[in-house]
Amino acid sequence: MIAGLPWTMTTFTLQAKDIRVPSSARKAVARHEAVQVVAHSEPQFVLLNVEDFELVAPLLERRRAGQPVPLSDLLTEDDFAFLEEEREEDALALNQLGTSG
Amino acid sequence: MPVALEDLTRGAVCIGLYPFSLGFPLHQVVRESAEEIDASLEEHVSIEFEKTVQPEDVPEVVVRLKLRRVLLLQDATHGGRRDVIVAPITSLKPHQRERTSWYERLLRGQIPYLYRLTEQQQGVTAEAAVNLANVTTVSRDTLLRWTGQLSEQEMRTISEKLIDTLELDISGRLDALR
Repeated sequence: MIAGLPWTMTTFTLQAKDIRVPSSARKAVARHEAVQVVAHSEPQFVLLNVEDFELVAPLLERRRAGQPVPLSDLLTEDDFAFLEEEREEDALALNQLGTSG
Repeated sequence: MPVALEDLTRGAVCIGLYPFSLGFPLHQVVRESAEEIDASLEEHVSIEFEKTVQPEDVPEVVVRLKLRRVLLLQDATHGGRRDVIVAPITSLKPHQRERTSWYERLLRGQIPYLYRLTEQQQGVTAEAAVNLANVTTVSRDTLLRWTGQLSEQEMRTISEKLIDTLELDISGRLDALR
C-alpha cells in the first residue's frame, strides 16, 4: 500500500525517477484516459489516473484474491448485445414449442 | 446413434440436439427421427425439424429441434452418469466481427465468457466460440456425433474463464496454497 492513498490494493511501487513517461502520456492520464504501453503490437501495461484506479482497485483486488466479481462488471455494451443475440436465437427455437391435442 | 461412451471425455466437441431441456423425451425424438438426423450429420449441415412427441405428462407436444455443437466440460465416460455439463458453441456472424473492438478482444482472448475456436481438430468447420455464459446440463443420449477434442492447455484456459463467468470463489484454495 502506498502511503496517503486510501485503497489496499496489492501494488508494486516504482519511483518516478526510475521510469520515463512522455508528457503526452502524462496529459492523457490527466484527462482520465487510459494509456496503453505496447510492445510488438501487444498491450503490455496500462497507466491510469490515480482517481480512476481507486475506483476499480477493489474489483481488481477481489479478482486477485480469487473472490467472485459480478460478470456484468467485466462486460461491455457489445458483450451484452452478443449475449442478447444468443438469447434471441435460442428463444426462437424454444418458442416453437407448443402444445396440441 | 449417440456418441460412444469412450469419446465423451472432458474437452470433447460434439453435435447435440437442441433444446437441451433435461427430462424432455428427446430420446424418443432421436429414435423416431434417426434417418433424418443421420442424413444431416453425414452432410455436416445443421438441421431444423419439427416432431410431435407424446410424453406422459401432457397430451402432445410439437417441438422444433436443431443440431448444435457443444463442448463437454466434464468427463462423461462413466456409464453410471446419464447427464453431463456442456457449453454451447456458436458460429460467429459477420455483423459480430464488424464490432471491431469487441472482435479484437475475442481474438486476444479477453472476453471472459467466450473461447474462440477455428481449427478442425477443435471440432468446428468455421470460426466459432464456446459460450461459457450459457453452460447447461444435457442428457448424454442427445449427443449424437463427436467432431473434435480440445487440448489440456485449451481446457485450462477455459477453466480460468469459467472462474470469472460463473463467479466462482477460489479464494480459499488460493489461501491454502500460499
